[in-house]
Amino acid sequence: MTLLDVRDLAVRYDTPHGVSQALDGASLTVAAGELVAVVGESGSGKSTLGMAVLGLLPASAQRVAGDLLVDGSSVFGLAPAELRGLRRTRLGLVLQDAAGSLDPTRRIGRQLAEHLDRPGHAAVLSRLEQVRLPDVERVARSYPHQLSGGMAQRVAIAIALARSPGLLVADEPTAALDTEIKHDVLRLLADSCRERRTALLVLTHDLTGIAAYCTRLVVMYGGRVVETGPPEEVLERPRHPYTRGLLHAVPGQETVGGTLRSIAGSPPVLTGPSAGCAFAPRCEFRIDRCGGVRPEPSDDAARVLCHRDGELDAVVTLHEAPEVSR
Amino acid sequence: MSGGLGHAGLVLARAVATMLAVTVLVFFALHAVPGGFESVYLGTSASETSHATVRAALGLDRPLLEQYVSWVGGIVTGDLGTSLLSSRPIVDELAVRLPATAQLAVLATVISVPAGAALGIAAGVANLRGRASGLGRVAGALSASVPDFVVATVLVFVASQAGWRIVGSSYVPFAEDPVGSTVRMLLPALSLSFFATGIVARTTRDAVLAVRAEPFMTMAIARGESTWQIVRRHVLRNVANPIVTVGAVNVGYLLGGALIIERVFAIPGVGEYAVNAVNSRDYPVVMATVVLGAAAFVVANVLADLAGGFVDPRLGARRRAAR
Ligand SMILES: Nc1ncnc2c1ncn2[C@@H]1O[C@H](COP(=O)(O)OP(=O)(O)OP(=O)(O)O)[C@@H](O)[C@H]1O
Ligand code: SF4
Ligand SMILES: [Mg+2]
Repeated sequence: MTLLDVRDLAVRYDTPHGVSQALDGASLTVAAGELVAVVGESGSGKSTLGMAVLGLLPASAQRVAGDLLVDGSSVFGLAPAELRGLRRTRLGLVLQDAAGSLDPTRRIGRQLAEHLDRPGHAAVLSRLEQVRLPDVERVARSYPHQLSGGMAQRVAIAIALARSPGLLVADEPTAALDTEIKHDVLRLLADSCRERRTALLVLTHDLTGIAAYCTRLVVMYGGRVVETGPPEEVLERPRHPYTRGLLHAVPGQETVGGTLRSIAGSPPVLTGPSAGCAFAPRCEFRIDRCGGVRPEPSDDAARVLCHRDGELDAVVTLHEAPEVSR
Repeated sequence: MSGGLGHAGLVLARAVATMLAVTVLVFFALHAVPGGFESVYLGTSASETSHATVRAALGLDRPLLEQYVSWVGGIVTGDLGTSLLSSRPIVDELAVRLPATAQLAVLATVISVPAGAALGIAAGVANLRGRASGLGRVAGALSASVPDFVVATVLVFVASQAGWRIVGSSYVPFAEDPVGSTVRMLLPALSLSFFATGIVARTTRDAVLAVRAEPFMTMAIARGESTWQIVRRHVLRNVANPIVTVGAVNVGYLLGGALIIERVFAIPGVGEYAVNAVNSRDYPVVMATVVLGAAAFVVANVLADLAGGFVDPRLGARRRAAR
């Protein structure tokens, strides 16, 4: 049984300010112990997907189609008590705002202790040591505002992993941290999950930053998963035009294409299901079919969502992409 | 912030300034009233000479500023002046009446803060669960629109119909019979607390909804904590501060309400004393009771402010850092 199985999930937000199709048929599976990174630009639907996993979508969000299963049962079909049980025993969450994730009125030690099966001072200290915090006695006695962002995030990770969940969702866990600390925290997340055989689902827009710490990359665009695969493969042989563009846009990767080219245009804000490929307005390889027919995933493991998958490598290389008039 | 002063010093300085402003306001306002203090003795038909005699006897012929300074000086040393009507020291008269009002206000607070907090949390939590927060709205609307004396009258009627005789019977000093006194005070305190309960309830509900938007609440739900666990672990502590604050602000409402409630229930308290003083234009007593009421309000707010630093560690830290 797959740990996480997202099937053609479509989710729409209905607010007084308008409608927004955050997920437009997203599909994804995560097996036990896998370390998966979901990358995509702002608005591609990462957080919506992550919150859906925990059954935490706000009331304004509604599932239009598809399903999301954890341990084989749909989170949308669970009774409140069952959902609570699932969250308590099988799922964990880490958010970008580390300091805000901790209750400001209570000491770290107490907040951690109440989620340990065998609480106690020694257990608290050992858990804090496991997340590589220095001076754990002092940290246990501290209030959240007395910790740095990096330390607070380590505490949040310790709490989220306290019951060794099957799956930990981490939404931009390092986006608010200083660059030097970012990698330490990502390594800690990956190592801690590996030790517990907890699967990790990191949501981020930092493609190259996360690549070293995951066993699989998932690229999202316009509320759909457009490509997935082992990081080396995706980075070296990207197949979807959007992934190719992303790699061009990554600082430090300029030499791949000779020049730095970011993707022109901006990501779509969908108000309903996309008629064709959501990337078409920005795609330099688009053909007539792209605007009107929704692409289906390729048959292989990469599940590339592009009408021209397979022909592009033969026709063009990254270095000599033809300039398409826009 | 200036060095060495600290948050507590600042709060105290503000309190003293407020009290000074109150004394200036009440003193000069009452001394500007036409007819002057002496007409309480003399009535409107008295001659010029008798006016002058009485004025001299009461020290009212001195410059206004000098009178003010000696009045404030008296207050600071515990002398609130002399009643024009009874010619007795106001402090002595208050000493008899203060316990009744204090008992009424404390009892009303003991009722309104927990009841309001419970209602507010229930309403806030119901709201979080997607149910319309009718509870809070009804409590809020009722308490805001129904005057205290109406509540008091209804309660007295209900109690008498229920044959609950003792609650309606007359006042007994706390020192004489603590239990009997408190039981008799229940109905007045309940009437008085009605409005305050509504205010505490609304403040608490809003605080719960504000806390709900914090990431640590999302995290608590994501960990599968039950509603009760979330309330007990996270909500209570985080809404404690606004509740303490609104409880202190309510002291003002309670004192205002006591004027009416003491009348309705014939409780010989400060409120009744003040109302009588206004009716008979016993100005020194009016001034003394106003200053006393303001002092109670200011002290409650100072205590609430200082308590905030203990309840919320962030607040305490910010204040220490600002020093
Ligand atoms: N609570 C909400 N109400 C209305 N619209 C929302 C809400 N949350 C997200 N959206 C919309 O849904 C779309 C997807 O948002 P989502 O937050 O899932 O993307 P994301 O990939 O996490 O982006 P980011 O990198 O900015 O966090 C966006 O168009 C966004 O405006
Ligand atoms: S489907 Fe067409 S528009 Fe979309 S990525 Fe492929 S080539 Fe580009
Ligand atoms: Mg997001």
